[in-house]
Amino acid sequence: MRRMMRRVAAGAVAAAVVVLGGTASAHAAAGALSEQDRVFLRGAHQSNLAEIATGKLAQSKGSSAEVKELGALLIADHTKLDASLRKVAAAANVSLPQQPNAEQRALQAKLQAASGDEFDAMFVAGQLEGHAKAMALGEKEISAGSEPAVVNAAKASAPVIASHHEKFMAAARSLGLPDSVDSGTSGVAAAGDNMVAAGLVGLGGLLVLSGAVVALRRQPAR
Amino acid sequence: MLAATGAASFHDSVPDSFGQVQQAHVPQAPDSEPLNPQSQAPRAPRQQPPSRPPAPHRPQNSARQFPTHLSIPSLDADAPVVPTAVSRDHRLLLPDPSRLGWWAGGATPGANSGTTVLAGHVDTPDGDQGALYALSAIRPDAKVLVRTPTGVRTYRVIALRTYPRQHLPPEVFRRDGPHRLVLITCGGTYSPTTGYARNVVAYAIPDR
Repeated sequence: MRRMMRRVAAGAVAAAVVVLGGTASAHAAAGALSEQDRVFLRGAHQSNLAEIATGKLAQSKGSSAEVKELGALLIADHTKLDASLRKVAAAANVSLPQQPNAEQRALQAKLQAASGDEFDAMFVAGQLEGHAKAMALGEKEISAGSEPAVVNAAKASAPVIASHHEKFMAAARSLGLPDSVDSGTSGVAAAGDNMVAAGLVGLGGLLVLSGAVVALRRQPAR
Repeated sequence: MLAATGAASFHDSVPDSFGQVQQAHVPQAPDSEPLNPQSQAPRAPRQQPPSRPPAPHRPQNSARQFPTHLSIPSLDADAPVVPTAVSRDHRLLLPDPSRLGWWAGGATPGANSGTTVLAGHVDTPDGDQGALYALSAIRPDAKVLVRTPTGVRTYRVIALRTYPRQHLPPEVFRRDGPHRLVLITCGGTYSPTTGYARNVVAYAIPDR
């Protein structure tokens, strides 16, 4: 009986060791996750959400076939990227934001309100800015991240985002040359107020000049 | 003494056109050609031969060359830069007046060829100053600093011109030729219905 008790006890200890061991290794994994990893997971997820929403807008509001296709590409690629990202985040026990960040939401509101003439340009420019930030975020994770699964997620998404970026660069070029820039609204510069600086520089120069003349005139007197 | 004379003539030429200034600072510039390839002639040894094909587009991350910030110390101008693009009715769209737009269809700062175009508001709807309020007062040889994620590019102003606002010549946006920086804002007379009559355009070349 005592022997049996010992065996049971030994078994319990062994089981406890297995359980504790498992918990310990899970803790170790969570411990390896750095703040950088969390920042990347959250930022990349928000960027995916923003690209998917913007892609839908491009499909409905875009005026060229190129922009509509870019919209479809954003939806397809960022949906895939986000599915694998969410798995990595869940395994690492990182909670993700429910919506894009304030800047991304502001861009969406702007695109929603854009006229037909302006939508494509605003979409392309906004995506260039967004993808530049997404690429920078990924590069930071690849160089400074800790948890291998998160770093690998950044590595896997990098070529996809870079290929989008190149497509948006080409789209920006295909929009053609501008012939006008509406860079004024209230007319405060019309009175030539903004020329005051040049006027002052000119006046200052004249003062220096007259000072030099005075100095020259004084010289012979010495 | 020379500086004073230069300042006066630069200022005097402002109301109508900057043609004289252009000619003074950009040798052999025909009136119809504000971008003057000859202006870099003294720098010929360092210049790329014109027949050489453009450098291959960076496949990895050309966003590292995007301009992110512009600074013109002599004008106290300092503003962040974001990409912008051209509308279907051919307007270069601009961000809010506190920021500048970089035309993403053109060259990145420090490119081997083509024009980097940065445009910004002269004023705000509330009557305040925009990011490029003082551009009309820029002086020849003024330094213009453009920051990118990889470093700061320095340019030197060689000319200042104005054009009718709805008719900027395509030469302003040249995608070929020697690399240069073009800064654009509004200026001239103002009408509440049609806005400013002209665009003010400053040309700068790499200051190596």
